[in-house]
Amino acid sequence: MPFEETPNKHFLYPGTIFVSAVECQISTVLGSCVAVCLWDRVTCIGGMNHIMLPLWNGEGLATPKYGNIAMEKLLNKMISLGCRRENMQAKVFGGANVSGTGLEAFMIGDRNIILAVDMLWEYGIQIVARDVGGRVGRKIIMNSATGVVLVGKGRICPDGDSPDICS
Amino acid sequence: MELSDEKLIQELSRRFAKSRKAFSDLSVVNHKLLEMNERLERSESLKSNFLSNIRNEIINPLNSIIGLAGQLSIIGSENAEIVSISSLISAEANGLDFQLRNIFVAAELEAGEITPCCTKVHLFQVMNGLLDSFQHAAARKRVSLSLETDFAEKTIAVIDFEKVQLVVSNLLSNAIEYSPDGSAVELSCSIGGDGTLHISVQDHGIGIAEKDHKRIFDRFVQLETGTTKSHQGHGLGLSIARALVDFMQGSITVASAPGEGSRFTIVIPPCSILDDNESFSEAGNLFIFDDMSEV
Repeated sequence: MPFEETPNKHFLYPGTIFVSAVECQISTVLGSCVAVCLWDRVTCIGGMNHIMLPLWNGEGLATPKYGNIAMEKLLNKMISLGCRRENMQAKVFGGANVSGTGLEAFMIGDRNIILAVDMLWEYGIQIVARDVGGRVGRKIIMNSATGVVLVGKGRICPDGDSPDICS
Repeated sequence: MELSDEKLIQELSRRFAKSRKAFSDLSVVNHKLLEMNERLERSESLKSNFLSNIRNEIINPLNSIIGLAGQLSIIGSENAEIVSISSLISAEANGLDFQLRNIFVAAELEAGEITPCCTKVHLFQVMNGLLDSFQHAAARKRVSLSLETDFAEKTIAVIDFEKVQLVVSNLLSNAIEYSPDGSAVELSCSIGGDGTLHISVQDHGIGIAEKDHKRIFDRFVQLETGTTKSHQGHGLGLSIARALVDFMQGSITVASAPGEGSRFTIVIPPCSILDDNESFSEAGNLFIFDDMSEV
């Protein structure tokens, strides 16, 4: 499917959510963060979140930086625009282990992936594509009207590399 | 099966009529869909504008009140009563404005709708302006405010002005609130070689025990609770400050011990974007990753 330039563009910052009823190119850059792209094939509305940490610990503000909050808010935003769960499909990206350590406490990428996949399963939303894990950062661009996602892989991120690629 | 030409033509025209009918039905449906879509787009833009609309509805009249109170004190400068009343109005309105900004930003953060907005500012003026806005609150407790900077007065910095302002306002407001009468609150600001912004707020108040250092950044947490608590506020300030600093990819730390005052320090990396999202990162070769075909 050809990927055409759209007039509307949105860069999704970590910890934010964006859903668009008009055709829009949503892009973001992922390291250990995970982005879930939801798309409704009937309304042709798409949206994305950008999960930095798996679970909100009940402290601080309940922002969509946390996976459980981000998934719920993204779904609700889609539903409020007339989308229905049964018409939605999901694509999951990111969750790289950019620090390269195998320690459980640091495997934030893996924990982000597990949370996102689990919550989608709970919601009954099918995951039609995923490109997760590994050691490289990714840049993704989603067309909110067609649900098509482009993925660009970064180089391997050594420890302490620029957060531009490894956020 | 044998078919006469006449029958064939009849059948063909019947089928043509049928597909014409289907086609017109389809275009009616299509039209309805388009209408629906337009309505959807309108409601979406309404919804996403709701927060910013309501924000202007409240902030604009409030700004008028603040401005008019200032004028009132100039016009009635002969009359001491008018001056004191008008300065009280502007101080209270300023306080309200600050609390509302906190609430709006908290709502934006929780909705995931916050965006960076980097602008060029005269850093010295910004810091001075921040101190000025708290002069009244400080004077009430006879707390002295001072500013220390390590850069020239004309220094221009690129910062996310509104967010930095709100974070520092929260720190200053807390510092004054928890300062004993007649003490001092010191604001210091410096810029590192790479453009990193360091700001700290020091008070000489009751201080915070080490075990509570983490907890103070939680929502609605005030170490002193109950109906007899002696300090104002709702306990949102520091949680908003931390969420904002996190969003700017900076850090906020506290150094404090009971009886020794507190020093809150924020470190904010330079703004990497100036109204240009694309420069954030263009690394990585792009390739098509289409529905279900891969993975």
